[in-house]
Amino acid sequence: MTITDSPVLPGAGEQLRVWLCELFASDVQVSGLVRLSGGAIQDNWALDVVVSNGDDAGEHALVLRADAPSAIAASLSRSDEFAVLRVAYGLGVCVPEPLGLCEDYSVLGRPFYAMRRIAGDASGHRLVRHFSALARLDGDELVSRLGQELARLHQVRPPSTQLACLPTPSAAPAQHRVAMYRGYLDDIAQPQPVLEWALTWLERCAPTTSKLVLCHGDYRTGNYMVDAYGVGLTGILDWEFAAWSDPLEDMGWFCARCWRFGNDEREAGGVGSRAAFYRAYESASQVAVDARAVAYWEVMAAVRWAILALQQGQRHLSGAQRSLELALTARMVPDMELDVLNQIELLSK
Amino acid sequence: MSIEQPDALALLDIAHETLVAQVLPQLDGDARYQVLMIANAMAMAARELTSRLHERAANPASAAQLLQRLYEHAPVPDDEDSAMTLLRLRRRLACDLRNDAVGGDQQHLVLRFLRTDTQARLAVSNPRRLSRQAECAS
Repeated sequence: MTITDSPVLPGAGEQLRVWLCELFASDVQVSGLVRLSGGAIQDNWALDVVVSNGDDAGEHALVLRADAPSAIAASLSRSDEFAVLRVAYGLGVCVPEPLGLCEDYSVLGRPFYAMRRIAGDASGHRLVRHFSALARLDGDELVSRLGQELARLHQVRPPSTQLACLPTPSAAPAQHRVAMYRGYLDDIAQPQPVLEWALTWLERCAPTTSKLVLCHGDYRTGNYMVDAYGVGLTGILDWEFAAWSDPLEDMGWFCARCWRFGNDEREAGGVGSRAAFYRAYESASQVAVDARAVAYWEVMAAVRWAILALQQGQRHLSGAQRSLELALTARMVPDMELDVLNQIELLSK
Repeated sequence: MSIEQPDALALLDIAHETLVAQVLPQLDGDARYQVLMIANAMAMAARELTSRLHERAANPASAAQLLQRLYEHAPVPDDEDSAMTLLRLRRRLACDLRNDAVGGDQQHLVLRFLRTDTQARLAVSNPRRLSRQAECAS
């Protein structure tokens, strides 16, 4: 995320300061508040505060994360996302430290939570340039770290009292996703033959696994921060799609072509080799990765991203959030459709 | 041909050219990103207008023709124009595909339609991707 020029956060004033005073159990002064770009679905604000006394006395760099003006189906509430972030942080996954949740609408007019701000850059486009075919940098170290972090997260299994907010799918994860995505397509006015064809294939070829773990749900390049050299992981972001699911869903999402930002040769997130990513995951989890099942989940990933793109377009078309970026996102659907056609053809050979 | 000249396509074309050649070099940061998105949207709109002009020439291999071949025996309402027919047939195909109701003898034609249709839309939204795909296939 990068800091951009922005209007003042509506409602941010004395009530926010009072909430921060309660959070730090001290008098707090707000020294800066600017909007961060990069959250198409959520609204993120960089907040600098000075805590007067107590154990936390001194300057703190925070991020406030609130709902965007129009929400998207399937994303968690801020309260549920905060619960997931706390579990991940407690496990030692590389995430920003969650500090406090506010569901009092009188503070900002919508729920939000505060977390510690981490240094780094999350831009997928900038990151993959470090690892392009012309660059000498080896991205295997970074994707190995990301494989290890994912394995650590996947240790969490249901039931979990801390994550009682996450629903348990009533069917096997893949069948659950197929039903969910068909429901989303029903809300899109334009018929989508390629996506319907793909969903029928995904239904027919669904893995029968019933293993459920805590999945990040949006584990991909662009949703983690790296240091200035583009090699050191500083934090995994955007937990709003976390869910109980098949662990390979996260791996398929990470490796899907649509999340390589054009650096297609580096099959793990446009950054490193698939082999290094799998090897690190296997070593950390002691679970063998079924490469063909990951390829299945890559088809699911392309379908999901296509449907998300259609939903982003709907947000613009409905007038809920008029935006050129959302409008252009809707026109990315044929890219994902080509991925779907190519991948299913490959898997059907 | 439009009575007004320059027509919509020509206006879009010169506006895009001016934006990219004269405005974009003066910008950086978020403003540059916004203008790149605007230029992308204008280029896409121009390609879509061009492809609509070409669609008027009957092409038996076009996505529209393939779709009509799939449902050639289906009755067409008298008051329906060609755009409405294509939308209705797309909807029907989407429904048949969800219900796995496409006959075995039609599978090949359906796949041909899906790929042709995707490629035609990609030629508008992202022609570079289409070129890369063609390079990989050759």
